[in-house]
Amino acid sequence: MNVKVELFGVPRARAGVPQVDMEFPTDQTSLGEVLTALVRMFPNLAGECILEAGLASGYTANLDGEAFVRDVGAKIQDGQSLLIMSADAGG
Amino acid sequence: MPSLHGYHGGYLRIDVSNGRVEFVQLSAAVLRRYLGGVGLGVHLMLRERAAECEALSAAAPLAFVFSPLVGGPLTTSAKFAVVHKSPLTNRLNDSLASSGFAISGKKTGADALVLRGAAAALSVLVLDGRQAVLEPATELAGASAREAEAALLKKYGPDFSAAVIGPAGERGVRYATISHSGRHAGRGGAGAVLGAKNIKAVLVRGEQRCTWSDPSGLTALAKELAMKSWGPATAKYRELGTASNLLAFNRLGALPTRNFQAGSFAGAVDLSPEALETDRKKTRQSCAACTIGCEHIYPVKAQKNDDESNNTVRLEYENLFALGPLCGVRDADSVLAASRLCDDLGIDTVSAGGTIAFAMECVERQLLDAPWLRFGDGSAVLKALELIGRREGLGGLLALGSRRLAERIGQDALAFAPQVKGLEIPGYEPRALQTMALGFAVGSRGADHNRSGAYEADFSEQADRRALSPKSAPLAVESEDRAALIDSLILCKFLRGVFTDFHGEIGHILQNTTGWEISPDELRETARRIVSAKKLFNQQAGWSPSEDTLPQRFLQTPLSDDPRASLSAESLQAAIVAYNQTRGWSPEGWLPRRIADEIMADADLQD
Repeated sequence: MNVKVELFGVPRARAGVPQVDMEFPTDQTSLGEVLTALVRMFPNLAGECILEAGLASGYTANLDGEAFVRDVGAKIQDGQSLLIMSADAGG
Repeated sequence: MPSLHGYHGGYLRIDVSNGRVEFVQLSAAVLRRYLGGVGLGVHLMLRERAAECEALSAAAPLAFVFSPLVGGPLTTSAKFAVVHKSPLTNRLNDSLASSGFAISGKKTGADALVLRGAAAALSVLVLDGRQAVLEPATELAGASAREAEAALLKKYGPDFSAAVIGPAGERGVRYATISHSGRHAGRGGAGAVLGAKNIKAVLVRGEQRCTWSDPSGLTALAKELAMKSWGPATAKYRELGTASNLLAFNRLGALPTRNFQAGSFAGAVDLSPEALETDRKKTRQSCAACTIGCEHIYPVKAQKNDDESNNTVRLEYENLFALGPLCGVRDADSVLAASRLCDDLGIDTVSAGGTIAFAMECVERQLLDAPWLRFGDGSAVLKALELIGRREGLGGLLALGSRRLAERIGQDALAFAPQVKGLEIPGYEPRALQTMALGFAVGSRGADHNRSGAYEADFSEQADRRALSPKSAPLAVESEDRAALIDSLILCKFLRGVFTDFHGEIGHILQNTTGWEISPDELRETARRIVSAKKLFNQQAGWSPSEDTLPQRFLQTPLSDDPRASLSAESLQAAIVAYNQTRGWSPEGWLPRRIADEIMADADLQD
């Protein structure tokens, strides 16, 4: 299955890319599994944006521009986009 | 009066028609109930009967309000509030700015400066301690905020700090700012109020410092807060600035575009901080006493008559959104130049951009005869800003703000004028962020992302951002209450993510500063009192329930590029009723007599 991860703000700066297509050998994956795979691809995300337990407190994730998710067990389906951005929306 | 820590125990009432100064005492009880900044400012406006005054009359008071934390060691605490009746909304207005003016102003020996009256000719108010002198300032007439501040500091010396207005404030543009060190008390027209008093600038200097209840404890808390402020919760502000979320907003369809006709903008990438940095040399700055450093300064391409040696601008998300996507402009150089021009004229970028974008749509609909004012044309935005600054031609109308312009145009123009209570809507599309929509509708100063940060709920799993629900009202109330405390202390909202126990930590800070043992429950009650005091002011100024709403566009038309982003009048009204009931107000939003009487008893107190 494929998941498109779109990165915004600091996560984009740490990863050095605006988005990445990720493949998983199952029909369904979870937020936690995508985050773990992301850290393997972009180690600079670890510690600041992504912790072992999931997203760091200043960051949030969104599925397809719809629901925001933080629970590492949240299911992600084939073809979905996962957006990772600052949880602090202020400007 | 027993000794106070963190406060001087009173404010200076200054009559700028003659320079007379009176020190008015404030009791410890009142200071504890309203804290400082916005909270104390509201109390002062009630006490000075500001609601009864015409906003731009000589009698209308304007307050610069400090806080118990100003001058102390806490990061981001060098802030002041400017509080007055708004000439844009005719409701309470409170705006904040940072840096040396707060520190120098408090050292005059007062917790606030309240200006009343009007000088006979353009003047500068020089406050040296508690002594006031009015000096003629005719040579500064028409000077930009930046030029005026530089000239005044050269004349009076660097130990003074200056709050100044630009030409827009002198000419009564209803969304003129008061500027200090390039930062602006921006929203709601404080600059026009000062201009109506014929005061080009207020200079302050003093030597009176406040004591702290527990200096070593406060220093330890300050070090801890500074350490946390360098962490990941503020990284986006340090690295990319407040514009950091521009592309995320665009992706979510929450970036207001072409006068709120769409929620995403094809040119957003060109305006993102990531793109701006690629071919421009950016520098960073901080306010005084700040460890975050959110200010990102960009060079501006020379326009005619520009001094190229100092041609830079602080770029904020709100400037970028209002002068870029909202006007359909994707040319970054134009947006940077427009931001800089707003700074020099001394006008609020959100209201300026909102009013210009509204006028552009009126031109498109043939409601306004200004064929040069077209969406997407950056040079037209610059021309419009110059006209606003001079109040010349169409600029005279644009200087009134979008609501008054719509009322002049008539027909259905008010339906798409992007404002609430007369204050232009900031860069959060209400249909895509509906908890924020509720916050805008009920906001005491109008559409406001600083006094209600309800967008945070929309950016979380707490809310469905495209729908109002029973959870929306308590989320909006909680956000507003938290802002009331932060704005009264005063600390920077960019710290909000670093507190793990907000009320507990704030209570410790206040205890070490003032000596008061303040529980989380007392802080929550203080926040509710401050929000109710704002509502009371508005009621005295003529508020009615019908103004707690959004323009019809948002209630009748889904977003063109996201049809599921749709908000009905019925669902908004239900959420407003729930909000009012959560606050303990009547379903329509009237304060119960008991709450109003309690707040007015504070204001009538003879100290």
